[in-house]
Amino acid sequence: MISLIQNEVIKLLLKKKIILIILLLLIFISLFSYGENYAYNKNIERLENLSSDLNYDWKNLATQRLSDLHRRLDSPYIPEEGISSIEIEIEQLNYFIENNINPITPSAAKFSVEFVEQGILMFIPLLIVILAADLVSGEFSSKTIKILLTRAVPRWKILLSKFIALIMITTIMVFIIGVLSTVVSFIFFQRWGFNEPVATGFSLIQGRLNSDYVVFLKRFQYMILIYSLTWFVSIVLASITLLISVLVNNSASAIGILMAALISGQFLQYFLSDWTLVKYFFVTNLNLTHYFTGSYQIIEGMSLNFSIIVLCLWALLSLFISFIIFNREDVLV
Amino acid sequence: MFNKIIWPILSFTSIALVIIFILGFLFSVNIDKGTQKDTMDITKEKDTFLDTNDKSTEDEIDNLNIVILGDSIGFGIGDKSNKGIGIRYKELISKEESNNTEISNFSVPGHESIDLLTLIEKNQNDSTILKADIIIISIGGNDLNHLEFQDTLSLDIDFKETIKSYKENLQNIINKIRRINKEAQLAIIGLYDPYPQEETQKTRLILQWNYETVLIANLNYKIAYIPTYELFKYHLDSYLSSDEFHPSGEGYQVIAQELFDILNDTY
Repeated sequence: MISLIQNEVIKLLLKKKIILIILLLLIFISLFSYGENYAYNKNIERLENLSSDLNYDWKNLATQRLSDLHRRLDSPYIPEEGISSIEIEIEQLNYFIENNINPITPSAAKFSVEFVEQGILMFIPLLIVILAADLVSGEFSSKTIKILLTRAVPRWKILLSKFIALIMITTIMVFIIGVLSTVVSFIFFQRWGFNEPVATGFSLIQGRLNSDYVVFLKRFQYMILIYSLTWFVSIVLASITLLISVLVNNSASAIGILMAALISGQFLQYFLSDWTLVKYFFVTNLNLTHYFTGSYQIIEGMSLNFSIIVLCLWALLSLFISFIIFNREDVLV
Repeated sequence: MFNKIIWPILSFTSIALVIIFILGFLFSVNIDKGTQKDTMDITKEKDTFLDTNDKSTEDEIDNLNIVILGDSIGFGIGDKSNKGIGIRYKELISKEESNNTEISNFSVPGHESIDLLTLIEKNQNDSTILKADIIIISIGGNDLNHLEFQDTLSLDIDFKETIKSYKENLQNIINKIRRINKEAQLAIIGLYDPYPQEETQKTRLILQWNYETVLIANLNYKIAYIPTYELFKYHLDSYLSSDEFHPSGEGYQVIAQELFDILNDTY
């Protein structure tokens, strides 16, 4: 079994897709971080022009905000649910003031989190499709499937070894995304920012943002959480890609089908509030990280748990179907 | 080469990463669960919290009582000396008369008109409102501000809906206050335009908003409308605080002065 997996990993590596993916990542990450750095510098320039002083004084702004927040805490009329969010903001501002960091300064860790948060809907799925779309269908197109199936191993073992190899490479790919986005953006920003305090754990109760159960995390811990969610999404997508790859006997149509699903899924989200069926579609649930950032949910009834369950069901179902089909399929090459 | 070096590295790192990711994943699911569980407790706690509050304000009858209701501007966000409209107004009055002035500020930064309505319909501040001689209301800025995120096409429709609900809420707020206190002088602070000239469409909306507020103020008994748009228009630099949205100390002083000029006989 292990030698089978080894064999599949070699095949995946030999196709040089990892190198293509790394190149794509390098191009995109350097473009984005250059852009963010550029926009940041422009912004600072604009703020300096706006304020009459020569130096744009963010510290003054932050201390003013801090004293406002402290005063809010003292007021007995502030509703209880607002208090913890005020405390969080105070803690964050204190960190920025103590370390003399302008809150809007970009840092490598922040960029890396933002990069996957933005990429989790399209870019990362795209990379996985590139990686996995021809896993099985490629064997058909290049007619190597005959040689593979004539070995004295049951078919399910072959598919399983392919899947395990895919999981390994996907895992390493998520890791590479994290490392590359952090390191490359560090070159631009010159700041790691791993220890910045981040608040997470917001929830929505009756349409209102509740921040009573907010958890405080260091930026690097937060990074691990976000990347774990990204990893989970990647594995689910890998399973779905595997199914398509088994169903379609040629790599080009496999990529086409998956891209069509991803793009149409984005469009379907517009109907989400009226058409509840859409929320069971896997593309709608890909954006797991946004449950964490405190931004409001798209629709009532969708939560992190809901999305995870829906994604799990999609993954299990597609694995189940692909194993059945791969076992029964007539190979006519 | 592959069997000896790459394979062990690959398998080891991927297994280690899978473990890390699974742990992180479980942790993040747990964080989310924690937030969903105890929502019932919060509402309970909140109620008892407000109850105890109420009792502490029941004293002194003879003074001039000022109640401030509303949002961050009523609260005094941006004022470096932490005075806000209330204390600045009090200072202006006490120049002339020497009576005691009690200020109760129920403002909550970020409140919209609907929040203020629910706040006073809880009846928890009734005793304070009953004693009030002057009630200053600053509301609506956040209602209008929420439109910011919409695109221009839907802006007009949204604006109409927002202003409609704002008018209803404001009228209900006034009715509610009047049911508790028939004689207090009410003062509604108008909206100013914190944005520089660039956004003409917003200016139009603010003016329209203020116009509706004036109409409501004039339809009801003993309500003064305190214009701020005209006051701020050419002094944004000095009247706005460093966040470029809330008034600065000077800005609050000007609003308080306007309030004083309108409500009190200065000559």
